[in-house]
Amino acid sequence: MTVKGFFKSTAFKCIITLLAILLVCGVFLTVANGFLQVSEEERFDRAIKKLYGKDVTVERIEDLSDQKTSFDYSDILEAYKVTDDGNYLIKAEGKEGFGGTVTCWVVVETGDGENGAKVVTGVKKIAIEKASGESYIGNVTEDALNRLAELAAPGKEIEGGYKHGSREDGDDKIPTGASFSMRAISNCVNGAMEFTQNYLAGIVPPDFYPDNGFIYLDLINKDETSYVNNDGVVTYSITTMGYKQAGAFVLTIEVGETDGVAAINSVTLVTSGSTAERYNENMYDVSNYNGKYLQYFTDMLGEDLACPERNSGKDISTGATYSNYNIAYACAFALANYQKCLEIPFEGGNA
Amino acid sequence: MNKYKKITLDGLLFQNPTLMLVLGTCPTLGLISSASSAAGMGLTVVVILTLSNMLISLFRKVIPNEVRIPCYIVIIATLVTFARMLLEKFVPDLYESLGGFLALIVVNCIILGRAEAFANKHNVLESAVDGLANGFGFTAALTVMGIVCEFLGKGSIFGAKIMDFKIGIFATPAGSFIIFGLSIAVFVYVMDLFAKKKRVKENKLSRETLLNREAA
Amino acid sequence: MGTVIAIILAGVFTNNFITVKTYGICPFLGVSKKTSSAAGMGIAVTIVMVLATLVTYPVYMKVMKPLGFEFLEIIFFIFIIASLVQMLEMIIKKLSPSLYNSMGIYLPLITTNCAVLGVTELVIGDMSQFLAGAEMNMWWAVLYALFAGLGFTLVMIIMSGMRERINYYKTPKALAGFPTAMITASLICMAFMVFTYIRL
Repeated sequence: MTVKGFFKSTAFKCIITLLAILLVCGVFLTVANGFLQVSEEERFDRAIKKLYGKDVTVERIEDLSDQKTSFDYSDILEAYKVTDDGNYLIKAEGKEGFGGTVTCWVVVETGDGENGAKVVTGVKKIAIEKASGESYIGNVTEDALNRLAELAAPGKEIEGGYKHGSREDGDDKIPTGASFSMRAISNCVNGAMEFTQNYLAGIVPPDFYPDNGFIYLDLINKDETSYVNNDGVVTYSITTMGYKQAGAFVLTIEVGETDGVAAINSVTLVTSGSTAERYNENMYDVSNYNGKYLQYFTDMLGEDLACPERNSGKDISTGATYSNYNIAYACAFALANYQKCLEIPFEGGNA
Repeated sequence: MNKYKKITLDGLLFQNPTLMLVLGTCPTLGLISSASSAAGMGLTVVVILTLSNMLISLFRKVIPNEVRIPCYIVIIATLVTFARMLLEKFVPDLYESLGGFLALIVVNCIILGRAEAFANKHNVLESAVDGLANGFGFTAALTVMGIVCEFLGKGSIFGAKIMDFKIGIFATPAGSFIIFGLSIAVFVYVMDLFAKKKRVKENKLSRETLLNREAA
Repeated sequence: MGTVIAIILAGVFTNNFITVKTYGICPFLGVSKKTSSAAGMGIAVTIVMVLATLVTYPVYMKVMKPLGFEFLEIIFFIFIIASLVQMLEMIIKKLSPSLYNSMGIYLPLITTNCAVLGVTELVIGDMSQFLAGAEMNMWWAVLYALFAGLGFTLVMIIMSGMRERINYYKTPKALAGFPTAMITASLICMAFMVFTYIRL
């Protein structure tokens, strides 16, 4: 085929036509894209507008490093202050969902508290952002979310779905058919409220929390506990959370090292949380704990330091089990975290 | 019969792409669980189908026969991409409810089918009418099925809750299949009755004409 | 390992392309009358899905997204798929003319199969629910395409088996053909709904 012949052949016409169409279409779409592209910012604004129902300006709280963003059942991902009405828009991820976590946007309402300070007054709206493992998320209706927002009150943990780990009925339970998802969403709301409350009050989180590697924190009042490290002897000033009828105990526990293993040097009871004299009398003598290792406590209470039955014959079952439990737990806490306390000096907290 | 009337009736009823020819079934089954997304998809397809028919008819003499399918596909893909951009910018709710099926309009057998069977043989105006007719036939079928499915499956119509009773299966693909199958059965049955009546009338008319001619 | 199992379960059962996502319905209704052609179509579609993902995913992620050309994805993807199908057609014609003849018009029709374009569009989106915590990369994408295709083939074979049986029975005239096929399909969908309750 000659060169001229090629230019006249169908193959050439085909290629030219196809290329021409591709070119025209490509140019057309590129121009259209220039005008019609939806930017990240616009996407975010749309999400906010959908959540709020109207256009509002938000200001991002950029630096979350000195805030507590990790709670027991939720994590805070992003935080924004709504400049229009002083509310806070929090993006939180709640644990214990049906198939994983649920990420929600929570609008936390603020109002004036004592002394003109801003406090959390409730929750305005909840919107679900991501719920990939939740097969029943379709059952969580707008009504359910609104009811959850209504129930949310500062200082009171809401339990929108089932209670953590148990199933109970009650006025503040919202039946949806997606109880575990609702539990995760409740956790989002609780975390968002607590975060906002801390942020408003300028509270710096105590350094005892799971992120730092401290364990056995459940019965320890982190805000009222501190420790001091003197050359390998850690002196704890511990306030417990109380257990059932027994109230909070304040103790001073000294932990040192015996044969390379952490051991109790001494336990001093500063304030007893026992509710009645007879419990005080029946309490297990704290001097018995001297010289004990962590092994003793985990043998008696189990690896998760659970409170034993009252007549189970353990050392602490003396007729004041709950009181003894507080003290034993505090000792276990002191021993288990001894190494951590040697590494991290105590900073912050309100002790 | 006026040829535009014929084209319109064919597209809407006698050769309804969804219920008679059973083309473009993927978005149909995927979207009839909600009437509003069904209607939205239908209207989007009307616009894209009409424009595609018109463009292909316009260029039918220019595009060589060997590369016609790739060329048609590129044109349709461009239209779909443009539609996607417009929807995402101006009607984000519809964009989200259509989901993946918006991009799949490009492989919708209806559009390619009409381009191949009609648009490359007729002029622009006829192709436009054909596009509109088939598009609205598709939309009507989808919307009616969508209303039925959403009513049975969720107890609402176009999102507005009407009743509390609902049969959950109709909100799933299983229910969509059932509604679609029954709709085809009903529609074909009605069309057959219609065609039969028309045939009977025609036969009667021709018989009368014959008798009159003999009598005369 | 958990991710592999999650992808297999998702592709074949919980997010089956025919019974859950309703992609690939045209061949599902058109080619499922005989088991041999149904299986052949299923395998062909699987091959195209895997090859298409293998090409489109890296190009989208490494070239189009960084340069901001995502809006050209539809044109580009369908172009790749059309070319792949054309090549596959030529290969099958050479290797097995009988298979080529039995598949007839449905082979080039794989280009307009929603399932193929569907899977390429799906893997460039948010796949986190299928990955059990792992990071998305090309190999997970291809694996997902493979098992989505196998799930498609599975349902095709099931359907063809049922349709071959139904052939022996008389159906009411109005329900003959497509309506019966649709109702059969809906029964298969109901059966597959059981799998959405699987918890890993």
